[in-house]
Amino acid sequence: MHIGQFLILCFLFLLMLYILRLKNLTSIRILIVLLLGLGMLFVFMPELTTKLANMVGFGRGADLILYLLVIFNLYYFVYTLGEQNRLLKMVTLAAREIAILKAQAGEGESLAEKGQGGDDGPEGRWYHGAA
Amino acid sequence: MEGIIKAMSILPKHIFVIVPSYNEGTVIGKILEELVTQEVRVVVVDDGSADETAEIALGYPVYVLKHPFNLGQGAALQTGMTFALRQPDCRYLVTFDADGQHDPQDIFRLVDALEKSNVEVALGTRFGDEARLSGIRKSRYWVLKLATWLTKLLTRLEVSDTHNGVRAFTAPAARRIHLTQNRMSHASEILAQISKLKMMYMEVPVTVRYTPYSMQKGQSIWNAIDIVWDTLVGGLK
Repeated sequence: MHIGQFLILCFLFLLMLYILRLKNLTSIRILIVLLLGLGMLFVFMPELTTKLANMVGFGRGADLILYLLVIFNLYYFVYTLGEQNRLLKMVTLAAREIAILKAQAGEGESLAEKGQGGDDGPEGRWYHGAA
Repeated sequence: MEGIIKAMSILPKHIFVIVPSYNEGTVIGKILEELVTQEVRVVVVDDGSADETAEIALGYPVYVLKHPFNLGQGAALQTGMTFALRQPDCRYLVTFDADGQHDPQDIFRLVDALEKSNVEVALGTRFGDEARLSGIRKSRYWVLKLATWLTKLLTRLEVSDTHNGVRAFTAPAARRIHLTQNRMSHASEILAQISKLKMMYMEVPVTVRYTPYSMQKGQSIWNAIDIVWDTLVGGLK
């Protein structure tokens, strides 16, 4: 094993340890761990990639790895997009409740009744100095 | 007799007008000045403005809801609707843009349409026969036409103006609508939900006053592209 292989192996191993230590293994993390394992296997047996590549009809092992990388990246992109959407929805719901609760805690319901057409003070307006 | 008619009609205070606003400090006062003279209740949703939009709104007899940060017009509308629906006397909800392009009288034209024709949603249109347009730019006209055509294609609704800010809902209809597209695509999303929920709807011609301010705030061709993107990709869970 030459030094390049050793460094890649160390890097993959540390990455795997890090991901395994994260709680709640989601599908994406399980996939990453599997891919890292596969990567480590390929470091030990580089000729395996070529064999696999020939089996599926690609010329070289490096091509196979590149294609796998592209597929994984695309999958990760879609996954992240979905996750981002989900988080944005949650943040929105939380912000909405904050806005409504704050308004109600201010002068709340009474504001509307006091408000239009009322004779509350010279300005006839509510919600002054709520904060 | 007059008393009976009055009792039969809906008390105007049961109309909640929702005004989503983001950095509208220069115009919000003017539009609220007009709105508070109407027999409606006004809900201003300040969408995390950096200017004094909320402070100005607080000077009027209106409800002021403040998003802690900017979320987008769709989110602001939904916040206003959620709030209004929690008020026990809410019968009708009307959305209304803060930039001063709408005529407050149109609120009653829309609500009248809801009362008289038993539909659940009344949509303002600036392209109807009776609709009046003032000062629209040619490019703006075609962007809106394009947006309308795309939305029609996606929602299969027969509407002439998909991105008009004035819409009226009955409370039960509004309760069934859940806007999840925070940005401008909410206009298409409302229509998509009307279509999916098979709601009864009609279009009502309204006035749109194009001012230099509203022109600058309005939708460009880039918005149209964003809207298509959000509509197609935004649904990813």
